[in-house]
Amino acid sequence: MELLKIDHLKKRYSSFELNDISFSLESGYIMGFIGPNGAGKTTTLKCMLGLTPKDGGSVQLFGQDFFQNELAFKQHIGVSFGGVDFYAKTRIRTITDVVRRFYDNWDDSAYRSYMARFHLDEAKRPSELSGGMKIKYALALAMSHHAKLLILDEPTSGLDPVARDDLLTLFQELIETGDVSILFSTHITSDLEKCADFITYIENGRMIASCEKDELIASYRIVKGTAAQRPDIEARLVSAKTHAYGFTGLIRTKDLTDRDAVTVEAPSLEDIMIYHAREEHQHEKSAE
Amino acid sequence: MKNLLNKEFRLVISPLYFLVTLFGALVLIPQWVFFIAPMYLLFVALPNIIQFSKTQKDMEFTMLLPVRKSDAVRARILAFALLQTAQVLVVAIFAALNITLYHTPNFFIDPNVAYIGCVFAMFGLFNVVFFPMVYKTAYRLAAPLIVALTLAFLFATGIELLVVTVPAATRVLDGISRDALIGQIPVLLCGIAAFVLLTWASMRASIKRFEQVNL
Amino acid sequence: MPLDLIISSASDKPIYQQLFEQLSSQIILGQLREGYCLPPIRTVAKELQISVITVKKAWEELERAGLIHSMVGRGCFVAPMNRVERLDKRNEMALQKLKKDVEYYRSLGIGEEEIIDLIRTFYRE
Repeated sequence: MELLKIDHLKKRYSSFELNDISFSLESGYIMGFIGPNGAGKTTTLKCMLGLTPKDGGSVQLFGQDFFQNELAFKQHIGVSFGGVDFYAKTRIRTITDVVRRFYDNWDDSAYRSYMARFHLDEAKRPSELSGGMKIKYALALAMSHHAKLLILDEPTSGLDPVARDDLLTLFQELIETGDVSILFSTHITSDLEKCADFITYIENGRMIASCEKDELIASYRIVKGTAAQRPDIEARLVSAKTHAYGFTGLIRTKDLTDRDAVTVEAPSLEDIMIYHAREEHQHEKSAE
Repeated sequence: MKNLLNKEFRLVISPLYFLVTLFGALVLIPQWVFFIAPMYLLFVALPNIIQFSKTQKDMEFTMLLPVRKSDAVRARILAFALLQTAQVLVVAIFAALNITLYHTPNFFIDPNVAYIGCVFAMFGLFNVVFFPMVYKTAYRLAAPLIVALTLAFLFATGIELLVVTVPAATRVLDGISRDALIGQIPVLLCGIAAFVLLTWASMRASIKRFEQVNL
Repeated sequence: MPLDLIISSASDKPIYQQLFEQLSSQIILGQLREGYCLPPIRTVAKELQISVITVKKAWEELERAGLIHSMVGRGCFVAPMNRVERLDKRNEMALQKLKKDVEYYRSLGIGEEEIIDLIRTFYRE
């Protein structure tokens, strides 16, 4: 079932424009929302939630317009912008007690079990929690009202590798039942290599791709060759880096032919992002 | 709305701020400029509360809850209006005490029924300027505070001067005799109406502006 | 009858391919018997820390190859197969792979005899 559908979302700022962002997410999957810093990831999420007024496009949840049913739909989503860093000096117990009243579906026993599982102590204050714990508390709040969609902005940035792995394992557990979906933005693409089912990739406010992760990776190849081989393939490359002994570049798999004698490798998500950013950069330079 | 108000009073507005309303006891000072007493709420409590809510990232927190942007504004203004009403009530109690204790007319406006009405109106005036200015950016605080406080101050000064210099105004607003107090009831009602209307207008304007803010 | 699945992220093969190959060989070799119920896709994804879609794709390939069949709401089961069928399956899969490889060699311009020689050399190694 299609849980979330973003259609041609637009937002104009004086110096930045979010243009025609469209993607959709089914129930039970993890979508990674990637792009370099400043690509418009957070802006997209904020426009989706109505925190920032959009200039165009639509947002649908459960097949209905989100803004027509904002209050009812917000009951079914859990949102976190980088963990709980508000009310730093207030006890968690008090914060939870304020939050739980807002949700019709609040499940106290689920809350207790998440708190116990995450080793979160209600007597503590957010300022006393580590980065990983702050995210976990945010997740505990989101999951305790049985959210169907978790929208998480940069949940893994600032966490050490152990905490990140821990969190990603948790994400997979959360979607195991098949009726929870997670949309999370990150610029740490290695987090997604493992667990994400879908990737939406934006760059400088524009969509580059939104598809299955495996499909995205399969649609690009890294090519490595000598300086002599370069002119032949140059026009087909997304972008390339030159080094003293040759070049490394990114190419769309469909543009690669059997005649190309270059070394071909599978790219990582990071490679795809880096070479696209270079392309963008070159465009800007040539436009100047 | 009940939940948001609960949030305001549990997380944002510490119960200690209700103690600030005890500045209303200053109305017991014999021969004084009584408008100063309720102003402490505007000088001390409200700016502190807003500043606190900013440092605690209350907006970020509230926006994660299943509420509309407009509801957040409504709850905040309503909470402040409640605080202001509590302040007026405290002032009223001490004003009554002042009249019963001293039986002496004041040089400036007496702590009478008309005075209470004017305090309501002053808070209304503060609200209608302050909140729409705050919610234009949702982070700038100094300018709205200066403008709104100046306006409230000018209003109070204006009333005081009228009472002292214009006989007609003195007749309507001044006096602590039984008849005078009863005669001032329309002023009180007008003050309450002004407070309600201005606060409501403040809410509408604030919501409209806040909808356009990019959080 | 434990299920053994080992994923290598260093491998050139896509993960779904690795899953497919490991499961199909376990089924063809009879390590996983007829009627064996495969674990739910989402559980496999969680356990192996890979994406749900990847597992789904592997399962779909297995079904297409006739090695498993899915029953709505109950899961996926190893398809019934006798010895002959298993051998057939094995040969069929080997043939498919071989066909692709031969095409590749042909494109490189390697002749029939040459390939057979090469295979002989490698087989003896």
